[in-house]
Amino acid sequence: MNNASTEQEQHVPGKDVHILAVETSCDETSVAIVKNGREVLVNLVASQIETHKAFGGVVPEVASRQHVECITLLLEQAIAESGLQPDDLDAIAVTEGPGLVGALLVGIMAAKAFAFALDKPLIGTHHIAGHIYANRLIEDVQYPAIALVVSGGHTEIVRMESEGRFEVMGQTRDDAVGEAYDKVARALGFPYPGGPHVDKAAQASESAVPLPRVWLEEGSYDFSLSGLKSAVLNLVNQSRMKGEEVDKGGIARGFQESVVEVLVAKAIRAVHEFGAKQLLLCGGVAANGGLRSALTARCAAESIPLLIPPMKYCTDNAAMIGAAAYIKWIRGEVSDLYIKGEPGMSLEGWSVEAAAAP
Amino acid sequence: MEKHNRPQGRILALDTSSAAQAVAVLDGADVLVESNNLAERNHSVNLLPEIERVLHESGTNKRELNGIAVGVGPGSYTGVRIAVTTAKTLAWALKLPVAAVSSLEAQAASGFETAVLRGRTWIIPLVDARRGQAYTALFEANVPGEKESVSDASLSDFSLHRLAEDAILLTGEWTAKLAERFKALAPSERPDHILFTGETVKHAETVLAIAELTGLSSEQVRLQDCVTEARWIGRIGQRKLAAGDTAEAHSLLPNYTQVTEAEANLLRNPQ
Ligand SMILES: [Zn+2]
Repeated sequence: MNNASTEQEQHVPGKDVHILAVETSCDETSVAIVKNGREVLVNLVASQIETHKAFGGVVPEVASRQHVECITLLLEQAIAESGLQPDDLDAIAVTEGPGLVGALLVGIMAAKAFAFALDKPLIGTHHIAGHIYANRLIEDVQYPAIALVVSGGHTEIVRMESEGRFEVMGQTRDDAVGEAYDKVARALGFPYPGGPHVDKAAQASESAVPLPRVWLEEGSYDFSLSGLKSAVLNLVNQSRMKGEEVDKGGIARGFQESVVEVLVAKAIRAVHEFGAKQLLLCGGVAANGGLRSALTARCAAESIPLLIPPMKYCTDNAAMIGAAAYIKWIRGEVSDLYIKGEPGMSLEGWSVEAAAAP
Repeated sequence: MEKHNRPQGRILALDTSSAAQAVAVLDGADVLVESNNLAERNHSVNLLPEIERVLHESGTNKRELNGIAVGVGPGSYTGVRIAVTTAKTLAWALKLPVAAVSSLEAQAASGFETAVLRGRTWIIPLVDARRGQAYTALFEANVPGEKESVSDASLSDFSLHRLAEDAILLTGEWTAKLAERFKALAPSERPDHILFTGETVKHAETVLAIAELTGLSSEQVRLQDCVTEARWIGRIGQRKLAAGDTAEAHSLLPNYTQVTEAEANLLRNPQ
């Protein structure tokens, strides 16, 4: 991350800040305009899900091609719908990473060219910080806070001591939650994207096939999902070899209960250990009904304030990127025109500068 | 009236389809600043700062540009997307006309300009596409006279006449096809030279076989290594802009010349 700061980028208190944000890290092309980091004026998402269904998953080259096809159309439409003029924008934000490098590049080149054309500052933004700050589109975040980030590519417990400071407490050592859901869905014969099908089948099933819980070492906040996924695949294969009908509902429910129990327990333990004032659930898997209801019940029982953004801000979108970029903008931390796609970008490294002691 | 339809106005030219990061500013027939940088393969990092530098060095305010010319490939998929995304966003944001230029045509012109061949010449640009394939096309140039009698200034005015569309081909099959095409022509229509340009090294052995297939001497079949240079993206783009042959920013897209591998597999084995 290259930081630069100039006079014109200084935040003027009381003046509204409009950030146009671009997100192309995977298979959604999205452009949003966010006011003051919290008010979404427009959030356009061109989803490619129908295209990738045919391939049974996201094909990076296909995703990149589609981003090029619609990026300027979305920019134009976003500005038109916001009622603003391009010159009213204060900064252009873009997802810098992590993500598919070829897909990230399209958004980055468009954002750089647009920022350059308008002479506006550019803010390279971390995708996971975006997922976390999607919560700020709905409510104020109280610090310290714990975020549980669950998506197709990520499974992380993040501690935030103060605004914009991230510390990754634990993460998956193999598959991300969403990825494990997709693989289990494929084994059970559900179409792509399979996560919602597994969730539905699990919730509809009366019984659960018992499956192991993977806790790892005492005190660890990490996750491991590949063993559980393999256990599911073995069960399915065994049933098929014996000529039995696969108990799809029972397996789905057993899998979901195992995943949810570990996610909830570790997130709650992190909240207690760090005296967090809030737990933030974010990422595409926040749509999972089993996870939402278990986490909601547990937080209610323990009087922990739980924030879950509405679905449109949980799946990949540019509004969340605008929300995260704002916390950089108000500190004068902007990027230069040399940024590039960072497929393995560090969240901790994207933290804002530490505040001087009061 | 001038004999050539000389383009007016100042344009920005860019191409990132090959190893070179090519950026130039042209004003009419003059190339004000040009950079064809082979030093770093990371076009996504340096392209915008380089555009900024080249505009500044040529004393050009981006708001005073009259158009943009961009190489749309074929070439590296990611590479082509870098320049095309940049060009379409700049064109849209600055409300400029944009000309989509074949990176292969500009590369063929770059190679021909260096080789300086008189008479009728076939020019075949090559960009390696792995597994014995190349992105390629066929152009013809006809520069009359002796080497001494043609000044460099008029040499930059030559134009290439396209004989085959940009495509990805096996260079062995392509060479054989070119030889057949050669032999089908009346002797007076046949080219005096055949020039392969661009990334010739990997395919040299394959394409040089055309000498034997056509009966041309090894003097008449030539290789000219070169990259796609920004001034040729600019010159070809200027002609298109002057002719009103422009693309709408939103619909400006790379010319990949083929569907993705995943799509090709799907067409072969529908699920
Ligand atoms: Zn995401």
